[in-house]
Amino acid sequence: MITDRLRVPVRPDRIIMVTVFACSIAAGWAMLPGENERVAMLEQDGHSREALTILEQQVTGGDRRYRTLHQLLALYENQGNIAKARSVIEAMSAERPRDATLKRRLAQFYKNNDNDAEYIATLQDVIELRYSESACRELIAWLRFEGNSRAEQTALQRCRQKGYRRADDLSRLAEFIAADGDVAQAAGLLKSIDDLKRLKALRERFQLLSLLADLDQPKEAERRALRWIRANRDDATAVNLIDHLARSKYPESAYEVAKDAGIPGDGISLTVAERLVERSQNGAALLYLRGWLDKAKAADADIAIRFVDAALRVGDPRLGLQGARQFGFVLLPQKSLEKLADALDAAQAAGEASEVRAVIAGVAPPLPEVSLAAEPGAANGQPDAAAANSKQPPAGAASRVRSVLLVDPLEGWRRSLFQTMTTDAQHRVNVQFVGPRPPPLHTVRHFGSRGHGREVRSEHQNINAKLLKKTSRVLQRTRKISALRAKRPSVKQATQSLPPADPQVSPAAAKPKIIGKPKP
Amino acid sequence: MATRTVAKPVSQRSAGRRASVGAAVNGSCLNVTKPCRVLVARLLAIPFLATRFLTTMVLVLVAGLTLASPPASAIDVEFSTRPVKRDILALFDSRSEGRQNNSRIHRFVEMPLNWLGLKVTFIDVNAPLPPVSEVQSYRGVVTWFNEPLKDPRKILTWLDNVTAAGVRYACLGEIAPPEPPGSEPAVSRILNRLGLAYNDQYVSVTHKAKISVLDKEMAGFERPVDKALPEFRVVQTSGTAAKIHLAATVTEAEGDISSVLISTSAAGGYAADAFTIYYDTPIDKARWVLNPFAFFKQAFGEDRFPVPDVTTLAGRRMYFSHIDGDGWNNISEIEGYRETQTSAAEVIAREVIEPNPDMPVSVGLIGGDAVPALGGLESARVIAARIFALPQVEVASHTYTHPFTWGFYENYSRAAEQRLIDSAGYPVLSVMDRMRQMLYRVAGKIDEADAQLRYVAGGSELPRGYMKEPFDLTQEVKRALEISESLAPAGKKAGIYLWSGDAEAFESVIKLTRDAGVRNMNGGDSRFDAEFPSVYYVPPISRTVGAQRQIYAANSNENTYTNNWHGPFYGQLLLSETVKNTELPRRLKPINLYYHMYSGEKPGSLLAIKSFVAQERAAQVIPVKASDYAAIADDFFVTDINQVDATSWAISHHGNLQTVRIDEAAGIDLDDSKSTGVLGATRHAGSLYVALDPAIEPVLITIRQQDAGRVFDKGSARLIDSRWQIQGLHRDACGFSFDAHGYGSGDMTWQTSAGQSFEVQASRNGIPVTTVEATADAAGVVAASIKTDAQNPLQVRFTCNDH
Repeated sequence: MITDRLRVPVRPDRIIMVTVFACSIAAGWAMLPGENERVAMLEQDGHSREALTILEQQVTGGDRRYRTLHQLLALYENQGNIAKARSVIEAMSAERPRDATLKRRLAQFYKNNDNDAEYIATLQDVIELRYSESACRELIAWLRFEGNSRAEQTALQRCRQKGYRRADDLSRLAEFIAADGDVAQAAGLLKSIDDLKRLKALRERFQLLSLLADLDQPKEAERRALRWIRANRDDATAVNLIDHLARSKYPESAYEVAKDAGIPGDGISLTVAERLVERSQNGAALLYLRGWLDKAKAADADIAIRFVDAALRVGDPRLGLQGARQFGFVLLPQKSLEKLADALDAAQAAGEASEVRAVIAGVAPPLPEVSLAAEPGAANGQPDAAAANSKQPPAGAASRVRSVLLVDPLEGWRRSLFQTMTTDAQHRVNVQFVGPRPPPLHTVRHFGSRGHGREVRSEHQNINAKLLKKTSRVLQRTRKISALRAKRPSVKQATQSLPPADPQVSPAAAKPKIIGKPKP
Repeated sequence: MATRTVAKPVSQRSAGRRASVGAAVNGSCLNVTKPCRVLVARLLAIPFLATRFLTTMVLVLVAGLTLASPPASAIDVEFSTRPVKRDILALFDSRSEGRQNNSRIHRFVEMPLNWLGLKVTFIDVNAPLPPVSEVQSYRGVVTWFNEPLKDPRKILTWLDNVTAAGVRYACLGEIAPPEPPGSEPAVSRILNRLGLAYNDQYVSVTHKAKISVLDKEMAGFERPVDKALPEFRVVQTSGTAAKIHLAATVTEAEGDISSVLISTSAAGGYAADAFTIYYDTPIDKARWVLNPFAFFKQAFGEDRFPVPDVTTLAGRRMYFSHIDGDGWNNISEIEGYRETQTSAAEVIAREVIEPNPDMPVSVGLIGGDAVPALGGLESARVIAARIFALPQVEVASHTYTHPFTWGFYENYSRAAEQRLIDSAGYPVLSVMDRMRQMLYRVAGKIDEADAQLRYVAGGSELPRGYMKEPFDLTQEVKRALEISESLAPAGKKAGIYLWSGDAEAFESVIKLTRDAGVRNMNGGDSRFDAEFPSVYYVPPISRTVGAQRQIYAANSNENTYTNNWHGPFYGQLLLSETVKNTELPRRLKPINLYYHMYSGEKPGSLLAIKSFVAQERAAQVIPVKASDYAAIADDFFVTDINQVDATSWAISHHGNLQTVRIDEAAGIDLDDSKSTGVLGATRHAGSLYVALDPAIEPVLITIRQQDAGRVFDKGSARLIDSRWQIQGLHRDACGFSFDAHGYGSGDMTWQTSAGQSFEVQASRNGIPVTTVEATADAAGVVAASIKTDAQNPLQVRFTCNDH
């Protein structure tokens, strides 16, 4: 009986209710906010002092969990308590010496607080711990800015060993190595960059060509120069590279490159004649120049000056005059015209000389003639109707010049020579450029819109580099022509790269990038 | 009552001041080349010295004697008064550099020139260039060209003529790129005048180049010359006129080629571009390789003159603070204020301004913040009135509608602005706000708050903050000033207008502030710390806009310290670094605590400000109002200096500028007996800072050889430094008196006779306020601290106790 009374009737609904109750108690208990959540809530509600107190108590009580320390650090930083923030983050880093992310944060903390020495040391630790391109880049840039060449070189080498492949920085490493006198290693490094990413800056290309020449590898230098020229059909770059080779220990490389890279009648192929002159092969140069003139299309001032100068140096002022008339006297500066007139006088061509002098005096301002190459009748001695109607220069003088040229007994031979020298190169170009044709000439890069960086300054200086030339004896002989040759492209580039005169038209192009911090 | 001394004007009489040959020959002519030449010429004319040889011998003898003895007036000669030329003409190319305040010369060069006491006038090379006769009134010409010029031939011809006329020329970078064909003779002539020779060579591969001459005073200033030398143009020396500071030699098979990279001469200076500054692209920072202070000092003549100084007042570095009103109505997140929804402005008032009555601050209210019709709040007026009522607060205005981009309003179009407003994204609205809007629409009514919202910019994505009304220039200046003044106690006028946004005000708006009778300031963002580690980041005193001048703030605000307010918010703690770096090795700027009201939002930013104020409160500074500094800066440009003789200068029109600096002053002292209008002098970083008496105009400053054992006469005194501004100094038989005003206690030190004791009495309108005793130490330095309020001027008298 008693047991019957004590027996509680077990009903399913009661069991369910008890179970639900117990579960909800357990769930409620489990859902109670932990200390960290409490701290987060306090922070969110703006009770940072209370949150800080809890966190400090936790840390004092031995809680070294990342989350606790992280919250503590954030609070100290928010309150501007730098000393305590520093001790916390340093403690965190010390407890987790293999945590590269934390070290990176420590580095940033030092940077934010003007602690350069610790910042650099921590960045180095980060890189040692786990290679990171961004860390390497940051470290190298900072050391470079400090001007600490030795540390920068060490960092570059260390990062390179770990896999750093940023072309700009490795080029700089090559510069350091070259400055230390290890030409072979520097050249090897630059070659590897060129093979992988291709050297972009003219200065780096010059450097590699110089190093290859120093290592007695002219063929390698030629190969690379040709590759750059063909990859970037840019007269100014090509002429610069050829000039640079001409100044090296192996000036004949310049001739080879010019021959291979040029297209008949263009500025690059004109350098072939110039190189022939430098090699004292005036006869061949003269014949080449005549053939070149036949192929020449409308020229710019640079090419006109170079042609006239080359013609004078090979001792044929009449050819120079022919070129001047073909391109237009207006393209030539007074100095070139004076030289031409003097040379014509010396060649006892008084009539032609007086014609040039008249141009100088401005008595009869000349108009550019229609290109002889474009005049089908001109080569056969049939004056073109337009030329005949042209008032300038005097028809008599022009016809005299042409009559002299037309009776040239070596005409056939020089044409064949020119053809031989140019078709080989053309064939090679055609073979190598399978696919679309290379871009047209004179696609000079726009220098003016790149901002203020070292690269851009370097580019600007490269323009100016063309103004001022030569360090070797070879070009001492050709001093003036090179100077003129160099100046003309830069004028052309200048004209093409100028930002619009009216800043309203294109403020972005007109306004240089402002160095430094942003305006508030 | 203090008696004001009125100095005699420097007239033609002063033109006949006499200088001693002894002073000139023994070096105390202090590098003034012209006076020295005059003296020597006079000596050569002495009839009884028959031959030049004998004259030279006598000179040497006199020199030897005078070296061993104090300056003596052995032979007196006349010296013509001549104005000290302080103007430098700077050419810039607007095609590549944009406006003049973007030009390299403004950003890099003008500050060092200002520090040397020189003023810069900018000329765009694409505009007509001034005639040579006009350029001769300038001290020199400076150019810094890299990009191709439109007409280089014109520039070359002009520079050729200018340098031929004897005007000094400092060339940084290229002379006139691209130098056109046939320009070699002109380039050659210009270089020859600088002591250099033209050379048609350029070194682009530099691994064989080595530095052959390195003057560490001139090159490697903030960054050493790179081991991998940059490419350079070959420039050679011509004669011995040029002093070579940096040169490189390239080893070639044909022989070595040497090139000058940095040089100076009596005709100017040259610095190859790659050796001027170093700019690093990845980290977007620049540093000087060239020492601009040394370079321009030598290029533009080393003759000594008192340099007008904008950093120092009464012998102490100035401190001033100003607040832009941005974030005035923002709710503070700081614990204790967040709960009560306290505005940031009120937090700043309670935490920073009110607890520091001895630290003046200029507070610029944005008119729109206090105009509900524009989107402001009425409560802003209450707080503004409370702040402006504080005596240490200077009333200022931070514009009416807060333009962010001033250039947009130079040629204003409401239609264009409206298009921008329409195209701007609306702020994300809460669910409640959306419901409210929907209810308004259902009811067919317009929600005023919503209508305003689109006319209030949340950031700088729109051209100004409050766009409800069309932009009006007069309203922007005059109305803004009126609003600030209307909230201040009666009679308290606004003193300064603080530029907003990009702080690139245009000419007509600056003129309006001048017409309104207030100073104007902001912009520049001066920093010099580990993040911006170069004097390049310290801007010049001002920028000129047409005929107007905008004064730059002396330090940057919290925006640049907090990554444009993205944190860390304690960033402005680094301001101390800038303050330290601009104090030594040369004092470049005064101390300026500059921030916005929104610094009252975050605990970190508030802490940074409070700690800086506490630091400067204890420092030896002279606190002034922001408008005081702006006035001093304005008068830097109008101060005239005339050299009276080898050791004396008359300074006129100095107005609010009350300090001149004499550099390299070791062994030199102020000659109190011959100077007039001078309060005293103090030394800092090798320079002598001479405090001028603002009550006296013009001032005559005379210097002499320093006499270590000099004893001051009983009762005589010279100011060393003071926390209060002093004027009308009157010395009498035994004691001296002056008028003073300033903030905090009157801490001051004077140089007087050793052991002399004084009764120091401060009075106002004849009624004594306080009296203290002060006694000079063995070195004759007497320090007094007058504990009273001097924001209203006081009269102070030091009376010898035994008199």
